[in-house]
Amino acid sequence: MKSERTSFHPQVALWRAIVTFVVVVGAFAAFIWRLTDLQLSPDEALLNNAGSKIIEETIEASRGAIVDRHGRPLALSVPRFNVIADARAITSSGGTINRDHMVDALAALLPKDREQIAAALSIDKRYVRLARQVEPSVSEKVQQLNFTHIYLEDDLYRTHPNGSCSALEILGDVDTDQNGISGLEKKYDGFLQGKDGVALRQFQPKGAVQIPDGFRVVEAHTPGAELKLSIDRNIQYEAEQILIRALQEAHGSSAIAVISNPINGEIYAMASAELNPENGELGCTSYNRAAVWTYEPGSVMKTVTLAGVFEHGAWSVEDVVAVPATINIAREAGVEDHVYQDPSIAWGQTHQVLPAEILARSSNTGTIVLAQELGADRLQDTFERFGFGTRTGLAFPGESSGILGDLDSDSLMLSNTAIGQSVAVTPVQLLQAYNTLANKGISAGLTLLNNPDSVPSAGVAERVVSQNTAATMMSMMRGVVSSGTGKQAQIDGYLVSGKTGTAWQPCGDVAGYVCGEIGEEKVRHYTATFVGIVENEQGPVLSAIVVVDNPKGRNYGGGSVAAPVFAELMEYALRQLHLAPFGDGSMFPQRVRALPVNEVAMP
Amino acid sequence: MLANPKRQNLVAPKPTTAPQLRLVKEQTKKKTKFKLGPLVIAFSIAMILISFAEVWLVVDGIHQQSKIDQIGDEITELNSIRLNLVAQRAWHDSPVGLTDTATKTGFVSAIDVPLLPVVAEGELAPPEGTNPFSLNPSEQ
Repeated sequence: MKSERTSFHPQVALWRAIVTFVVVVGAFAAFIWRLTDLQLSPDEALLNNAGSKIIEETIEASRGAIVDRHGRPLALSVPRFNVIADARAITSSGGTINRDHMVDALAALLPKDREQIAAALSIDKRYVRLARQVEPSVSEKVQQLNFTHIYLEDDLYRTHPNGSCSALEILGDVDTDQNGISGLEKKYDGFLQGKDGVALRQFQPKGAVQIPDGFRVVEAHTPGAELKLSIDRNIQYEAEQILIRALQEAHGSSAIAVISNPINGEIYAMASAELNPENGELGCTSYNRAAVWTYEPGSVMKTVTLAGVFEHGAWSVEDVVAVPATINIAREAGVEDHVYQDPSIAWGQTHQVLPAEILARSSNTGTIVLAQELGADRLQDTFERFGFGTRTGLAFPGESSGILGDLDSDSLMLSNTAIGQSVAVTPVQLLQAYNTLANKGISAGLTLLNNPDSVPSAGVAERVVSQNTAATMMSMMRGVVSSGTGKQAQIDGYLVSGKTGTAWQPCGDVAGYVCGEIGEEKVRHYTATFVGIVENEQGPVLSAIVVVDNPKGRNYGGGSVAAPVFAELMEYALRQLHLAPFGDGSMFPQRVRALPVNEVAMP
Repeated sequence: MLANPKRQNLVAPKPTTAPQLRLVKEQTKKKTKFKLGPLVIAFSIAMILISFAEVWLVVDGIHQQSKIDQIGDEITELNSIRLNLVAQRAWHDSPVGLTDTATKTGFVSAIDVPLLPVVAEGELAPPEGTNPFSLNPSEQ
């Protein structure tokens, strides 16, 4: 009997093994089938239940900084806190929360009054933003208050560490969500923005407790890149301050200064200031007038006109010109002739002068005589080749292309445009044209970006006029500063060339260029301009344009208002950029190196 | 040649002739041909060990993740401090900041400094009004 109970039956054992194997394999198969089934056709209820416990979070990419050519920050994003409230919880708390005390304490800290905060806390919402991007000192105090249902939320704030001016008109601004809305912030928004990341945060089915290890970064964020400008922070600041002082002295309505490297087109400073007519305060503008604003530039366009004359061979630089005191241009029937005048020539007389003196004295009639020799088509071609009528390579947001009409359209158009009237340009267009002459006739464009290899980013450099024409014009412009209307632009130790401009502007409400009369004197709206280039032993190293709009003082001309500002700006910029003067600096090359073309005795 | 005395003591051992016998019992206790019991036990032990290892790995993973999260938070906080310091430094280093600091320190801009012109002896005009620095009350 005993031996029967303990006897081994191989057949039974085999079946047991088979059954065990089948059960285990079956269980696994069922498990895998269910898994596959859930993956291929997920249960909606299960999915919703699970999904509600997984929150997708955006990992915000910080916006890149904008720095100057030396890496000094001009705009950067710093962490700030938003003050938020669970208003529903506060409202439904009954008497457990002293709401009045909370409102009083928050009103004392936040930039909102008591009524606004009280109203915000009465809203039936779990998320109410009381203040956005508050100062760190404020957020610390809010935290110390330790109010229930009042929280601090991370945010980013765009700050400009250099103060309220600080090239803001170039940098532009961002909205509260760090999106560029104007200026370079808008133009390079995609570059500065970076890319937000995505993360999943898992919570327990009941309650809002995060599951350990339940935070997974699905897609890493990429911080925004740093934008390096060609701007020099110190020169920019000084330019802004000098402009404000110049406006104060000239009683002008606005002023602009752009300083650049004439060879590669890098802009060192681009400043604009204006008078607030409402409160009489002077300050920096909020928009980039140098690129957006257009005006009739006046005599600074004569340089371009003469460049066209020599480029097309319409006149030789060595041939004298018979310049009359007045030129009458007939207009349509019934309208009296328009009279252009050179006040330095006695009425009815004609002077024989070289083209260089025409430019140095800024003679209207002399320029018109040469422009008539050139003809409307070729002058139009010259202006277009210099970039007037089209936006510069800056492609600044909102940049104007100016207005260059058809020079054949009107009997006055050729004469007017030749002397810089009846044409609207931006200050950056003018500077670009003068840079072309300084750069041996090649336009390198303008750029606000810093290029270590000195390759202009604005576009491909192109020849506008021949090297010979450019050299001739540079030589003539030196004469303007050494012995002409631009003497106040001279800088000891450096060679300065340039051109003044005193233009009439339309008067707004009153038609024409006469805004009124005081006695026998006509009241006009003038715009004073000086565009110049500074050279040392290396050649042209700096160029700048200074525009003072509507100066109302005793001095209103480009030579007396804008040229001194140019000299002051350049002296500072030359020191900042370590651009050495000629020799030991004790010489005055402007006087020593007066060019022969200016020394020819006038008949 | 004399015989080596040591070699005389070396005698080869006689082979053991006694047989090594052992009792062979009839196999009556064998219960399983496939040894499923030990297999199940070994498998269970292995599974338990693997489970423990997995639990340990998960706990360690959570621990490491919490450390990573903590380091991440610290990096974020330090980065915030860094950015604020960069902004503060840029302000103090800027012309506006330098002017502000100089003004707070007591410096004044050159334009506000009154320059006293040199006046020849006897050329100075007599003071107008009372002398505010006089110790005599009647002169003040």
